[in-house]
Amino acid sequence: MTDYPFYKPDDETNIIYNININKKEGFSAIKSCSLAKLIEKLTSTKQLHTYFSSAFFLTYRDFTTPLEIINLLISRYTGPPPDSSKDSLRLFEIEVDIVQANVLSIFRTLIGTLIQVDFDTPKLSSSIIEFFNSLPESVKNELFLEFFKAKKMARPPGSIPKPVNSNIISSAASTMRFSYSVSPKTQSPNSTNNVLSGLLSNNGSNTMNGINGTSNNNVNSNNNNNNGTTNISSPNFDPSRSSMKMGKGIMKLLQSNIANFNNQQNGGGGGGSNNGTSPQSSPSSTLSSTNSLFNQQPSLSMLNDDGSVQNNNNNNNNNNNNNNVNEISTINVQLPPSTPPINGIPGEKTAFLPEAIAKELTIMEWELITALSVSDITSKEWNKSVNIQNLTTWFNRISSWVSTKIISKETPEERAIIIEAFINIANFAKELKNYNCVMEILGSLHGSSISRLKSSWALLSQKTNDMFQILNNLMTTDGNFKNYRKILTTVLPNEPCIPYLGLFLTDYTYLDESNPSLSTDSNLINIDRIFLISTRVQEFFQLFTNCNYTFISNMSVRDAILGEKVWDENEIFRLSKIREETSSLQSLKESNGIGNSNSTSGGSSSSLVNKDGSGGGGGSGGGGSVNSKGDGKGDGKDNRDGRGDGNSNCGNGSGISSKDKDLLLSSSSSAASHTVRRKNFVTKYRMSFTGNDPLPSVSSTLSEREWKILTTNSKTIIYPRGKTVLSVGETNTNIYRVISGRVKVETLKSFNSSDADLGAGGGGGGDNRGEDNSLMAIKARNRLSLNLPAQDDGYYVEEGEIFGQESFLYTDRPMLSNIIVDSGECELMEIEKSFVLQLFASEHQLSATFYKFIGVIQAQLLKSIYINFTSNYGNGGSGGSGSNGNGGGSSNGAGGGGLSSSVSIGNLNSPNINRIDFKRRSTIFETPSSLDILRDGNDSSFRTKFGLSQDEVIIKRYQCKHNNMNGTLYITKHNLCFEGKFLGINKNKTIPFDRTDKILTVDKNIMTVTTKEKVKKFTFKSHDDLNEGYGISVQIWANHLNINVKQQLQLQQQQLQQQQQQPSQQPSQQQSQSSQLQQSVSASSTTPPVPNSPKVGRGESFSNIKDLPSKDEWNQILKGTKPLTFKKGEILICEGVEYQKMFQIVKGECSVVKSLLPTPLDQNIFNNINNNNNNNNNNNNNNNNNNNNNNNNNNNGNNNNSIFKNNSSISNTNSNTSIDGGVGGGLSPQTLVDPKNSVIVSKLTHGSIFGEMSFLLPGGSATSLVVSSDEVEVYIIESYFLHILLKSKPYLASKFYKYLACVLETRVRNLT
Amino acid sequence: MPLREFKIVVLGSGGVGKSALTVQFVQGIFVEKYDPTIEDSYRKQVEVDSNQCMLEILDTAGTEQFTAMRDLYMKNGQGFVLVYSIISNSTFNELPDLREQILRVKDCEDVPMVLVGNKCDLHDQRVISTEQGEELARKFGDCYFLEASAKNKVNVEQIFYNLIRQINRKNPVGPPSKAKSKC
Repeated sequence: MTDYPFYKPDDETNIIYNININKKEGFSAIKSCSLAKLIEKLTSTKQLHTYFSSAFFLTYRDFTTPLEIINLLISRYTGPPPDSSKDSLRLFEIEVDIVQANVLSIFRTLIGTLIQVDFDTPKLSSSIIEFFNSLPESVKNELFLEFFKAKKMARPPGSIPKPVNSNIISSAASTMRFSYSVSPKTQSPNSTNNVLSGLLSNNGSNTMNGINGTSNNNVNSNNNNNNGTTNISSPNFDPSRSSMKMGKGIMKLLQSNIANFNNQQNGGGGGGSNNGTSPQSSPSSTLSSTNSLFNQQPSLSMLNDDGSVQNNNNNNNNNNNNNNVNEISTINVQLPPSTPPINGIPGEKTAFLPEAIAKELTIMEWELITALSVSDITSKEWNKSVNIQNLTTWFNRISSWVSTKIISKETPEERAIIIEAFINIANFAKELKNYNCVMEILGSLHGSSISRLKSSWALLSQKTNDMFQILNNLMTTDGNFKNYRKILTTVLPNEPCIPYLGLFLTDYTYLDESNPSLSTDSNLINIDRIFLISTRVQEFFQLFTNCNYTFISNMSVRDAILGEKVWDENEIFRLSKIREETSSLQSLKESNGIGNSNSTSGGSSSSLVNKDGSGGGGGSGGGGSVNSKGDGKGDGKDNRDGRGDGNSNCGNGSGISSKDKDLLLSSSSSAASHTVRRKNFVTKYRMSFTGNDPLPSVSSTLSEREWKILTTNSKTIIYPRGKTVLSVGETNTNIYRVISGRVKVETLKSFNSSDADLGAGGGGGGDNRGEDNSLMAIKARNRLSLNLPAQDDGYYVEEGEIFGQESFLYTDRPMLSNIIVDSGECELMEIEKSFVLQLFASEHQLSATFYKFIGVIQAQLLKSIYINFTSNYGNGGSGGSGSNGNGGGSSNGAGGGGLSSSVSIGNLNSPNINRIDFKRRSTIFETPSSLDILRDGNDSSFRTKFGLSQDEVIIKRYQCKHNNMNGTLYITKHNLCFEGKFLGINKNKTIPFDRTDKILTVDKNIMTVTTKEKVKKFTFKSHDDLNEGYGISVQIWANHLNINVKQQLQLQQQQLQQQQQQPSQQPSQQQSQSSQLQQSVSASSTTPPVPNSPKVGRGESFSNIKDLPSKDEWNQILKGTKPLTFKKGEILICEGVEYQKMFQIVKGECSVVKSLLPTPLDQNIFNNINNNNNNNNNNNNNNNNNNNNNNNNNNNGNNNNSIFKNNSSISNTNSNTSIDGGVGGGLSPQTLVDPKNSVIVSKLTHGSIFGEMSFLLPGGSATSLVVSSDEVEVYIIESYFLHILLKSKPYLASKFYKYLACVLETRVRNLT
Repeated sequence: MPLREFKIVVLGSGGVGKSALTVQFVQGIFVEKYDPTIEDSYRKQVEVDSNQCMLEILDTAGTEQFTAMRDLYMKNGQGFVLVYSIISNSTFNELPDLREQILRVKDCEDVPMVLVGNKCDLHDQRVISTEQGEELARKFGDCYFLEASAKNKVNVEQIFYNLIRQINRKNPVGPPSKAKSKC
């Protein structure tokens, strides 16, 4: 007698009931039982217990296998063998119809849960097929159909992407990959193309490369599938069980909902499902809906969203197949129409209200969460589930985005506004029951980077603070999220809700791990566990099933959000430290963890003022000189405001940006009124989206007002045509600005051995000698080969432009070129270097702007030289290669290997070098910024006050005491002016410099000015102020006298300067000594790395240049960066690709390689190449081209491409960039390394920086950087980090930009 | 007198057995039915050095991927359990960063913390030696270190008891609720 598993009497070996519960309660009365008993009970009820059936199949794999169940089901269907006991046979006979129908129903459910691995088990498939074949024809075919359908769809668990969401996620993912930025290019219409193709191909292969042509069939079959199974996770739950958590009323509502939905489905969809054919239509239709609980098919669950996204596609992509859309939309009951995208011009700034942002976030997150299927959860391989990964990636990204948004604002006020805006967004999200979004925002606000921003939090209005408290209270982790859990139970079934996935996953982890699937003592199936898990799963999925948000997606908001830059958490923390340096978190750590100090008055507002004071110095744009230190908040804020606007509000200067301005300006009036005013404002505050804009950085252009200040001590000279202003070898100490006419810079006039004496930085100690020699060798070689006719070589300096800037970087550097007047008459402004340096000693912002300005000029010059490399390719000078062979062989040979250096030199040979396009006029004659207007306003009221000419601007001002009056001393070009108050009456005094006999420092803080009448005493606030003010006054006065007194005074001046500079000079001397070990310039020879040095320090040493970053200052720049290692041959920088990074080589050697093929340097060429070269990514490229055309001119914050976060090689980077569309480069690495088409320009070793050109200029990299030693270690400095650091530290900025200018000047010199 | 409340956060990579440790500690005895969704799921009253304490444990199990939530989870914690699995290198290697993050969030160097090498019952699969664990504990400023097994109930209570003592030492007379570590 065979052992028939069923119809065994109930006993402790196969079933244990819960105490206190009536056995008639069904499965809820069972505590544990055996699998056979369970199947017996399940199949013997008249009405299939669908809820339990669904619940069971959620977790059955934890204690059994599909095969085991299949065998049991078959055995159950066929009944006891003839030799069984009579009881068994009789019992079966009674219920055979019910049992068999139930078994088939369960079979269908089971088939839906099968995955690839199961189908690969031969036994399983054969058992099923054999069984189905034995069935009557009426059910056979339909079951087979389902079986094969399931088999086709089967995939490894959790690996099915919902193509619906690739739109959002592809962008989220790309953002994450690139760590901080998605340029709008990635979101451009093209990316939605993927969505469509993904959608179309979702039935068959898993690829996303669907082609439009094949679309219709796929869509149709998609429809069919959907009809049967759309209705996800709406099984008929056992009310008795579920009511443990939910009111029965709610359940009823839910069930009626389900019924309605089923009807709609069956009626509207027509065909496809098994409804018509099944003998027991009612149970099977409910089953088909429960089926979906386990459905592995990708796009079944959320039809509505499929539709909506599809619709969006349609709007975006006019060339899409409209039929597809219609096919889908006929099924959809509720199709949210989407608005067509309004945007169009990338780079245009947009701004949206918090509500709009909250809604769009909700719509997007809705798409993500509704893509989730039960199998994603029950597979337990959450890391492999695309849908879960999408949700977590999104969650983290949005959270980082919030932080990025806040941290990118410069001032506490601006940050406070953004924080308020996000609290408002979170509040709207709460109203929309999007708790996931609330959590994302709170996650950021409570993160250490944001919560430590004490000054910003202190500015929050009471109303926002209250709102924030309510949100915190709602989402508190206390009591196992009790408040949040409570609120979830109040969500009505027809109300859409997006729960926080994290908590559910924690719950599931615990349910899964803490409840044994088999009872430990009896080894029976733990029924409690089945119910616990299914109840929780049901509760969770119910929140976002069978309901939808009624508002529609706004594509322009969506595009704006997706186009935003998102920074890496560590970077955000570093920036947070820069933003608010003091880490006094104590007072913030109040009970709720966040700085909700309710008092915005008193202490906190005073801290605001302090912050402003210091920030003001930093924030005040290039305008510089007006602001004295003591001059308080008003100006500081105004400055910041002006500068900020200038930078970010480019396009779209409509009501929005002016509103911004209003807001910020109001903040400048006083802290108190600022807060009051904002209170009513913030819900209406529009968050601007500047993902496309460059970061606020130190300005690189000098305003006319700044020029006025710089030219205070300048002479105007007029020269006739042909006059040589400066000649080679002459020591030049001035900088010249062309007022009218133009001059020609003749470089490389003649080169001979004596040139070596003129060389770089005058060659320091003995250690340096060797390097200098090799450098000289290269230079000599270059010059030899250049062999140019002097007259034809060089470039022009036009009106408004400057020359002589190189000499400004060095002390006593002889000229390397002739400057000759090239127009009929040329008016020049000769700017006195000593005065400018004196000014810079206290005006770091101006100094930074000035050096950046010079740096940009040098970078443009270098870039033009590189372009000439390319444009001359093919013209190649034959003679040149020969001479190069002689000179260059030895020094270049080492790493150069296969790359033909001769080609490059030969090309340089071409006389065409004078074609250098040296345009920078536009950058000089800019429209005045709002800052300048403001300053001009100050100036004009000042002029009126003192009755001065229009020519006068405030160069400096100091708090001073004079005749017992406190007041302000102003220094202008012609006068010293004092404004004081005595008994409430203004007393103004003007002392013209040309009537001054003597200016002396008498006492510690006292300066005396002697005029014919008498001696006037001015008491400064500090010795530093005195030194500054005195130094500048004396210089201007001396310039006025313009006589031999000048020399005398200069002597005095030098003494003073020495005193002044001693402290600051000390470290820089040390630095230059230590760096003598290091590489001198970007020459070819290698030097041993400095041992035991954690950071390399500033690499290229310029031994006789002052005011370069000291080692400590350099470490500030490198702070937080970690060295990455690359192997020989890897390409760090790919020519033509735009990088927002700068590199410093720690160890090893890299070659700077210039391709000789046309490169993206010239955008027109670039576009052509892009079209031709990258065949595999046509769509992307088209996109890029469009965007490039639009963006080229105005921004460099755009193409924030790639770069290997994790030591990945450049080839990866490349493919990434091209896939994600942010590509700048048209050249493949293969092309680059091809020795025929490229040339090694120079070698960089320990300490050298690279990427400085990209840092200063927009556009792709002009050269590539290839590892040429076995291994190279580099620090990677994120440009945006550096920009913010420098912007906040003008002192550091001026030194750093000076350094860059020096590096670039050296590179230019080495190439010519 | 109301009980003094201790908030403890359990951290570590996925799959190190955080939830098992927590449940083992909270439940004490083995149960077949554990509902983690109710308020008291993670609370336990214990007596440490003849003081009654109420422990509330916040377990991050299942949310390891939600990196943006970590700071928020850490924020309210007074004591931290850092768990790795002795059979997994990666879970061990991730702890230093996690500790850094805690210090950053708490903005202080001295945070009550216990380092736990879990799954010590699986010694035949061990890849992290006890010495390595001790070494890491030393690097963590002589943090208390234990190897534990939730499965075999080895050293589970000790983890939490030690943590309570550390918190008590650091902040002897805290208010019954809202006790905050002072840094």
